[in-house]
Amino acid sequence: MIDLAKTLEEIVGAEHLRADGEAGRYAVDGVAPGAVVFPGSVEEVSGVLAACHAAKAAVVPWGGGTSMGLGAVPPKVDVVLGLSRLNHVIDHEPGDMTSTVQAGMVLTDYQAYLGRHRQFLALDPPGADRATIGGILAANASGPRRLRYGTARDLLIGERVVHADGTVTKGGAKVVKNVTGYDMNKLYVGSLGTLGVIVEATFRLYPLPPAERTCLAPFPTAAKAREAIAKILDSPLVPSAVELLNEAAAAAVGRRAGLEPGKGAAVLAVAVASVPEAVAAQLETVQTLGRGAGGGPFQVLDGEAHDRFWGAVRDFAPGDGTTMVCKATVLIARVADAVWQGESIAAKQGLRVAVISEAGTGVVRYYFQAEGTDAAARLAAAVAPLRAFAAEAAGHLVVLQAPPQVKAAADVWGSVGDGFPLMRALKEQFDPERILNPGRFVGGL
Amino acid sequence: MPLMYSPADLEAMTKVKRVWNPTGLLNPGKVLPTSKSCVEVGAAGKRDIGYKPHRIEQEGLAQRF
Repeated sequence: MIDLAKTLEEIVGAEHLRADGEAGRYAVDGVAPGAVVFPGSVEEVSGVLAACHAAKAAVVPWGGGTSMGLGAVPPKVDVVLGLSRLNHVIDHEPGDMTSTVQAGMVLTDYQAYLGRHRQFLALDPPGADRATIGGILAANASGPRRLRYGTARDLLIGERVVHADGTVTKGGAKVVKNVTGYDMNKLYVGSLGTLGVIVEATFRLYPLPPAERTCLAPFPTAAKAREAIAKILDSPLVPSAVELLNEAAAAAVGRRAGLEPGKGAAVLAVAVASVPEAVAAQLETVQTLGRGAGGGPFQVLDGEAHDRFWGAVRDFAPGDGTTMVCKATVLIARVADAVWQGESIAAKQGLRVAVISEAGTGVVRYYFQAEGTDAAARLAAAVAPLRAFAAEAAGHLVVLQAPPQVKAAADVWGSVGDGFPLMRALKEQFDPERILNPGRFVGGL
Repeated sequence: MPLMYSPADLEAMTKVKRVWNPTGLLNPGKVLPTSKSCVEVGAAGKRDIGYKPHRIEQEGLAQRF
């Protein structure tokens, strides 16, 4: 390890290497690395990985650290590979609506750059002011706007990746249609850095909508809100996000965003982005449909209140290390059941739960909190029954973050089904020495 | 394919292929190049056994397929 640190220092320079005490800030689930390196180029990333590969050192790629809660507790962390110095826009062709960016660039910085050309990358994951492009891809992070724009795999058209042994490869190209060979880009998305380290990404972009507004209304029950959602989804309306919040989530979002979402067992939020006339007309229809299902009174959010509301929804998880965040996918017809199930399981275990659901796509996020000495055990006990419900509703459940004691007692990934032997074989092909994020991914990969 | 992708890029694709198709049973040579199926790879093989590129090839004026 001492020899490795010396080699790494030679590659990146002493000022870009942290060791000992300072490295503790980069602990993963409490497991601190021996060294943290910040390479300044793709060549340096390659050098660092080649050195770690030769030393069989466990490497954890690190962007902004927003998804470090994802995955099982790592058995060991030797080197954290920080990508924050790879933070430049390489290319932007406004006319082609494509852009290539380095993996360490923070999403909000990238959006600010693209915004000058009235374009944006249509991803809105949690922690956008810290999350990096590479981290978002590796974790396949997404947010409310996936309803309209899809997720990273739909937007990524090219990629450069450094493999475990330091080899650099590319996939895709700067054109929207490119299908020669296998579509390697999608392989690395959501692989949590276990197959390679993403260093560059090329995206197709969208124009910034001229206006976006949101209407918000309480409903007496989640089932009533679900009725309204079904009508909205089965209409010619084109909402950019449709979210269902349980009472606890709505109250907390209201507090943080400085607004009053209204009293009811569930709150529905529907955002529409388009030209102002279309936004106004569509929100009118949303309100008519919502009132028909028993919701209201409606309020319309605009400008800063609108941005504060969605910021509070996206960044709902407090980074206090005590909250357990679970993300389930269910059939969209089962979203109201999913809210009720979460509340009922929480009540049984003596937990508090806020539920925020991307109701148009069937993604449901649960934020569980508990007090008392056996808090970790009670949090862990909620995972299995909630996962059983998700499976029954044709979906899955993953623990996005939880205190390490909870992770020790609960399976964070759940079963991945008959695909697992293929995943294990991929890992063997791409990282036979198992140096990339070992032990954190599904099935201990 | 070797004109578009580096040997490392092709190797990454080959790794994927090995996972799903370890014995090479499915559509051999159709997507990933082998010296039998791909003229460019074949040409590379010929270079190894003494093929000498023409002057206009070396100057980048022509490409051999």
